[in-house]
Amino acid sequence: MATTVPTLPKASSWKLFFKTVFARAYPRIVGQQCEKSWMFFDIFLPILSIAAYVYVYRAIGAPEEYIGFVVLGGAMTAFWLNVLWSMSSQLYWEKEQGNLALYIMAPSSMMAILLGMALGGMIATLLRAIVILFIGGWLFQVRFVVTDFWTLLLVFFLTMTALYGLGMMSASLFLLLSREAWHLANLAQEPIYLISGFYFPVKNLGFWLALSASLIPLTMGLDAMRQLVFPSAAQFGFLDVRIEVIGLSVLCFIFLLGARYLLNYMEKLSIQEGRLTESRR
Amino acid sequence: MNFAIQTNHLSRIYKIRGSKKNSPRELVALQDVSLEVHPGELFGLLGPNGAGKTTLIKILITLLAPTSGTALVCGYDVVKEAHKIRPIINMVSGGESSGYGLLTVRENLWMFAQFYGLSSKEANRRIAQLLEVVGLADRINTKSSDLSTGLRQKMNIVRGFLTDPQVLFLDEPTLGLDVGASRDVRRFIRQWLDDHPERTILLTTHYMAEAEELCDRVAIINQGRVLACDTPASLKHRLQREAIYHLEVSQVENHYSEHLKAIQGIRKFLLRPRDGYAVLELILDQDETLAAVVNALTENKVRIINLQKREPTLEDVFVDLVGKSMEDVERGNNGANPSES
Amino acid sequence: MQTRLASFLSFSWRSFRLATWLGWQIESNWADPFLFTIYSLIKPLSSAAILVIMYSIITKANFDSPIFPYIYLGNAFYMYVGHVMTGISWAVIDDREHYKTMKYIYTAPVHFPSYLLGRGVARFIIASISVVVTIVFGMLFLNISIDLTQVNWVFFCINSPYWGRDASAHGLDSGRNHVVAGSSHVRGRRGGSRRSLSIQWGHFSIRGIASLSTSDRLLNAHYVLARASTSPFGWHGCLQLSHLTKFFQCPTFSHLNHPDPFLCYIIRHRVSRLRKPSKRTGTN
Repeated sequence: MATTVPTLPKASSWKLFFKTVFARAYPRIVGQQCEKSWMFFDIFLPILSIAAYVYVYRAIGAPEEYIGFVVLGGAMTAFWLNVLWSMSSQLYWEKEQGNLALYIMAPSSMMAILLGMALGGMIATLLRAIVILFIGGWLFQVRFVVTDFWTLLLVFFLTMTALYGLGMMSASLFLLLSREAWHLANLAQEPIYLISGFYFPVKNLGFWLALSASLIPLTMGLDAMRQLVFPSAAQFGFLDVRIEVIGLSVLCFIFLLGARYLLNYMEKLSIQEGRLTESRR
Repeated sequence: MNFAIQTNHLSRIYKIRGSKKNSPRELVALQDVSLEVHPGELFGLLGPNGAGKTTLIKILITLLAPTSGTALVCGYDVVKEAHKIRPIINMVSGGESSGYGLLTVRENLWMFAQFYGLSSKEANRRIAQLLEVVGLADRINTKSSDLSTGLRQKMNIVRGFLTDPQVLFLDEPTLGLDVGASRDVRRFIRQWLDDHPERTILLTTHYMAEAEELCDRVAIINQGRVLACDTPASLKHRLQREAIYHLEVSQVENHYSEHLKAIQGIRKFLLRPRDGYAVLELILDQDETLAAVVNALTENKVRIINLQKREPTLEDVFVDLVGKSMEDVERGNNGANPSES
Repeated sequence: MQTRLASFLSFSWRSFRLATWLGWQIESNWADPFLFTIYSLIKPLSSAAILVIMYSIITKANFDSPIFPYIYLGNAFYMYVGHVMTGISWAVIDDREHYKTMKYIYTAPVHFPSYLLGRGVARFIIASISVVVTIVFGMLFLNISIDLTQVNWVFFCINSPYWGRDASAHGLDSGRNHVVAGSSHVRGRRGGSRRSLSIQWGHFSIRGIASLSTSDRLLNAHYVLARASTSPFGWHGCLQLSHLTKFFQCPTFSHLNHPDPFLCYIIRHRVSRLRKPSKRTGTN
């Protein structure tokens, strides 16, 4: 039987970028529809893990603001885990499955593929964060008082953009990795919770350490969001919200540009060393 | 002249990671490979496991950089102009299970089509058409995790053709498929090329029959080197001046091989023990040498069960070039090329 | 009877031994020793540091209060729960979905529970390294003093095998869930595996709360301990920790130091289990 397939039409690079993002997000979205139990297990059960920290604070007599910090920090862990496991280390899993070669070989951008991976899991991530906020807030009687909604939204948007840019940069490192990828991703959890001040105001780490930690977008993002959401949190804040907004904007620019450069560089390095298709597990 | 694929003294050396500091280990996967593939050709790369076929393909599809030499695909350098090559090529590997099990056949194919910029409408139209051709149309909405190995491979083959590439690389596409499925795939490949005379296919295989059936030209590769490159007919014609005989004899003692080696006029021979008898494959300088072989066997009370004169096959060409059958080479390969695994 | 027992023990031991070797091969050779050391140090210390910093902010670094070692040691020992449970149950997912050797192992003459336990041993060893590092760090830099002469070693030794066994049993239970999940077309491989993992993490969290909770404002302490008795680590761990530290000597918590009800509860609970052998659920 004859096949008559016409020539591939050219898509502009932006159109190809968005097509790729959507296409790569699709398997994640479908996966969440197939097995809906994640809604309970991945959303409600994490509340228990922040509850442990809440009880510790209450046991040692912490002011009530700290409970709010824990709840907000716990909600934001969802995004860090999404970046770490659904984006950065994902290239390793794709290599294991044999899909990485197909992605590299395709004319689409690796940034688009990574963004698609992350956005595909975004529904679950957002839902997890929102549920932790609302249920955690209700359970532990946390009062959220948003003083400036638009600034809060801006901070959140900048934090996410910079965070996902950072995720893309780290994904490029995972192109070179083999078995150690999972362990390194696992290693990046607690230290980031620590230095970004997920469960306590980062100001308490000291100025220079807190400033260094601000390279991680969640540090400044979380600090600014706390100041905007808890009226009395200004005293616990590291920097003024306006400075943090500027800082986050700079980080967005640096990380997105860095991601583009590093992905190209690491891809070339992996191609030279022949690591794109090996499986050393 | 513009070639679809052109390599010039291409080499690739792997460093073996994890080796001790005192003994760095290197593996020469490709050595001084120079090939030219014309547009519209179905070019075969034939060799045993560990010969370097997959390494060569990986270089040409821009997944691996050569250690030295150059490679061009449609005139673009694989290292410096990879971004120009990727929109016009595609690759299908045999024995892999790439794709997402939780997506249906259609969804998997649609997703990969998006990476090449196809509109959803066009992608779905092509998917339906190609699945019809390979006989997978009734499974279009089946989850790919529910497909058998053969059907999954057919899905992957459709993925390769879906983007209508200028140059298509097929790396052992029938590996792991049953006889019927392999035949369907070969037929499909040949048909596609006949319908698109301007496209080019590079096919790697270690199945001689596949190379003979499909390829316009074949390069025989072993241990990273191209030993010969010509049409299958020309390669076999090289041996036609020699006489090739297939004998089945009663059991031959091991030491008897030495007697055979001493007979003048035997160019190559292979002795393969079987259950209760042995097979003797002979490449002789001329037909007259056969008499000496038969006399020698008879004097040593070896009974000849069957004797046939054969037309040379690519297997014979390989034996002539390498001195061993492909099976023996694969058996003897230690520390295979990592990319071949 | 004795021959059968000896044969069974030999068979189980072989399975356990081989699985231990395999588990160690998989867990230990993913990095060079330097990177492995960094990983073994940073992860547990970061986890501990979060609590230390939280505590020091609120209490102005009053590390002399006995509640601090209680929290610190609770967090340290808690690592066993995660490592051992996930180590055992993840072995099933790894073998089935990545290495694709599950079908060969399951159909081989291998005692599967012993095999899973063996696979968990490597994670246990790695967890032990983390726990020891955390405790030593606390003793050297955070003024945690563990008076080994004051520990009720008899009680400690009785408890250790129980919570070790029970943590493993939870892991085996989860491992069994993963195997069942894999064979169930209704749940699907990933869904079943994912649900089992999520249940584990839910258990972790509950136990974490029980382990770390020392407040009797929110949760009545007896209620906590009674509830914690449903989970392997919470109950045994709490009791062990209390004996490792001077927890019960602190006036605030001394009213909790009633060995009689605890011992009565343990004895009653154990006797009832000996009388009624029931399905292995992995819970206390």
